[in-house]
Amino acid sequence: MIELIDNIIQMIMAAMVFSIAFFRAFIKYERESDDSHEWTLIGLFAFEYFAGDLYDALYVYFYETSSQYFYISEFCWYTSYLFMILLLVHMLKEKPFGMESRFQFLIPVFTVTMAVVFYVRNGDLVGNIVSVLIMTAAIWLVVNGLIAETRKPDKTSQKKPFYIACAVILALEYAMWISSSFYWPGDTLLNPYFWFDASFSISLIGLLHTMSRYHGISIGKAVRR
Amino acid sequence: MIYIENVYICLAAPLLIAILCLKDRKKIHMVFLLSGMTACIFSSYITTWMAVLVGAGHEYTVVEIAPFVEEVVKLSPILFYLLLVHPPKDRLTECVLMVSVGFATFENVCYLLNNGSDDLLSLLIRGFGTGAMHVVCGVIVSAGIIWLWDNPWLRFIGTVALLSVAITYHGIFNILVSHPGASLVIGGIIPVLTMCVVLVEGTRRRPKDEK
Repeated sequence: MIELIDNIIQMIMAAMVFSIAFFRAFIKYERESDDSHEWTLIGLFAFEYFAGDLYDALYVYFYETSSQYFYISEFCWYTSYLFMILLLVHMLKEKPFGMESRFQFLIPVFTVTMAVVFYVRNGDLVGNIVSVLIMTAAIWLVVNGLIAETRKPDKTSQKKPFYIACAVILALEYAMWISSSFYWPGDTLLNPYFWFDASFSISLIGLLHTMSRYHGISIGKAVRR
Repeated sequence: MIYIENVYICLAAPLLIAILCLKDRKKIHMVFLLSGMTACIFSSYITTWMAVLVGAGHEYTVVEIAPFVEEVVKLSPILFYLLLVHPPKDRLTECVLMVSVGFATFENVCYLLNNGSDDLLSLLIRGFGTGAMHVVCGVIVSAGIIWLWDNPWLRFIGTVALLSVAITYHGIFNILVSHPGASLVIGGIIPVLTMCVVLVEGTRRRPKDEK
């Protein structure tokens, strides 16, 4: 029951985010603005999450079990991060995969270590390899963006809140994976997975808000100039 | 037993004659229409093989394996054309449309042969719904190829990501239309509505001299 409520909340949040994002992308496209790509990618990220949840919910509703042979929902959730990667590449513009700090080598160390832990707990070699590649790229880009924004002489960083929102989403995803790898008796509120999942749903709104702030600040500065 | 290879030959033969008689762009359109039908028959072989491999029943094959296989196989004529011919990107949408229509047409013919032609209402829903769904999925995937045309790596990532969107859309459609009643109607209407939105937007954005 709690899982069902959790999934419904996530679907509603994701639906709100992609609806607003696609609407803004449409408005920006009508005005022939470059910002439409960013809104479209946020919309696609949220839509893919929504679609994965919807497929899972329909499957459970009609067949009273989860996917058994090919996990389309998991495929969706992984590829939603491909849209996040495309968005981050678009936001970073210059040398998105460059190395801003040598400590970034810790990123693949972390993602590979976590993948080994998940493989030992849950199996699924292919899924873990895919998640390592995608999450390494996403975290690398977020860290690049944060370092680049921090080093800017102009301290009113326009993109930093957005990168922080992406970092929160990625951290919550790992928190969900970690909590789901360990056994918790019963689907109760004591299971941390549901708290992390609910926080993830709220963080989707945070992503939308930070992108709005970024565009709002940019427009404000242009008007003041 | 229905021999879909024989059905394919009967449908493909007049198309082949048309291909020989037509020129330029019309010829390419017919080639892709035939490619769509060929992709449909290949995807049915691959889906059946994968279902036997994993031991999946018919129902689970339709909702889990078929969306993935069909969308990937449907993309292959376009990828082949893209990699070998390097066409201008404005031509790609038409080719994707013809592949999707060919695929949906052959799929509907096979559905008719398996399930009969008695129930007009469900056939209407199924016919228009399947056709619209395949076209919408094709448009979704081609958007990635065209939108990220300039950077090959981004084009690859964007296409894979949009392929996943198409697979999920297809999977949700298959789950809904596999059950009679309200879910069949809803499943059939969603792609038709999506198609209407795409058509209206496409017509609105077409240059005035083309209209």
